[in-house]
Amino acid sequence: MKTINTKFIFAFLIIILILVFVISSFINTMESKPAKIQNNNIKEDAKKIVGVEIRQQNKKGTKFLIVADTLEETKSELNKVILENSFTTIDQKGILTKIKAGHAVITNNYENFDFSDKVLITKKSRDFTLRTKTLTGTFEKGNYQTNDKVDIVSGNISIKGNGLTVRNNGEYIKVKGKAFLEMLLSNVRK
Amino acid sequence: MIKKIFVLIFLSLFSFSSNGFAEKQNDKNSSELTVEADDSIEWFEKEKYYVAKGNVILKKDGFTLNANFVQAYYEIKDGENVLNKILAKDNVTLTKEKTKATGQLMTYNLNNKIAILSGPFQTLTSQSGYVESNKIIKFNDLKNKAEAEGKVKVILSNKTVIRADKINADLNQKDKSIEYAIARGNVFIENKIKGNKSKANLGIYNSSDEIIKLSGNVTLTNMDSTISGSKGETNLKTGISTIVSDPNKKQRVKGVFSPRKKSKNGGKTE
Repeated sequence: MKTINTKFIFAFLIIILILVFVISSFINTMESKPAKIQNNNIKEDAKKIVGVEIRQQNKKGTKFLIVADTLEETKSELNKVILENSFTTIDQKGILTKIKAGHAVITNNYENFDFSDKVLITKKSRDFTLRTKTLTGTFEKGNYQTNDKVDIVSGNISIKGNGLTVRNNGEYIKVKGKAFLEMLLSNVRK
Repeated sequence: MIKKIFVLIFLSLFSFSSNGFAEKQNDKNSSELTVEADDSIEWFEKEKYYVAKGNVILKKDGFTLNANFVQAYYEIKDGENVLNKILAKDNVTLTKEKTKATGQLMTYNLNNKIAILSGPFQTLTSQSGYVESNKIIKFNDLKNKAEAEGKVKVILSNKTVIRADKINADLNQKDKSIEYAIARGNVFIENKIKGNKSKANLGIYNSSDEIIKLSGNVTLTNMDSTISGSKGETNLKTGISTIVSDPNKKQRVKGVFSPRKKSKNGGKTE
């Protein structure tokens, strides 16, 4: 009986230790996660917030996820948000478009955006990447444009030019001139 | 930490996506198509075509296409965008080595390699001669056939001019010179050097003997002399045209000969 009790206590302590370890690590993980901010919960007097994650969904069902190093909301303009090192993911019925930018200004209740500082758009379903300096547009319609140099790579296609207009997240792309398109084909298709 | 992992995943995704193009760039066996445009290049993803505007230059496999408007349709094969049809408008010029085609509207099907130039005026210039038409010039690069319709004018390398409503030609596989051709409707052959003219309803040319066989209301004119019959021949080497009797039609050969008058100084007058 004495032996059983000692074993039981030992096993109990081990379980307690494991539980403490699991709970502790879980709490630490929760603390290191960036703060989830819903746009309607942002307070007017909010200052610079470090590590943010914003989730949005428009009427069409398109989902937006914005992750940024910092978020700053200007007091003068209620709906203006400034983000540093932002990653925006647009989910259109499972088709993901990702936009990376060093600096981003989001206005009009998260509808309009103005990206700058090494803007990079990727669309995995189309094997698509777009690089430019600045990009302005709307999340709602997926329309955006720039007057800076653009470099697009999509599969075996490369397009370079001096300006860009995009409609519906890339269904229509206009690269302004002088524009240069390069298409590489496998030997079998010569 | 999570963010760093996210960044790494993001970057790895990007590097993976850009590899497809980069890999092909390094592949010496890959074929390249390039398009330059002064105004813009548009990409219609749903409709699967590109539009290039303003002084467009398209290059592929030795071909160079110049036009002010180029629309290129593509299909996706094994994850690759592959062009299957090109439409060019406004001051179109297509060149390959020493062959040049010009016109206002051109379509080129990359699958069957058929180029069609259509509009009020188009030309095709090659080592073997020059072709112009006011309706259509069709060129089949795969089957080595050419077709021209609508006031067709052909100038051969020996300065012989052939006019007809329609000409179909079989071309040499290597140098694309004419091997065999049929001219139909208002066929007119003129050798300015020899001063010979021939007219007929139908003309059949064979490069092996360089003779055009004429049939149907054949008329040969040499200086002021005219001979007519149902069949004839024009030898492009010698420039001599002859009327051949047609026993089937029992048509007689008719001729009008105008003797040349000698001038006072002993020369011949026109």
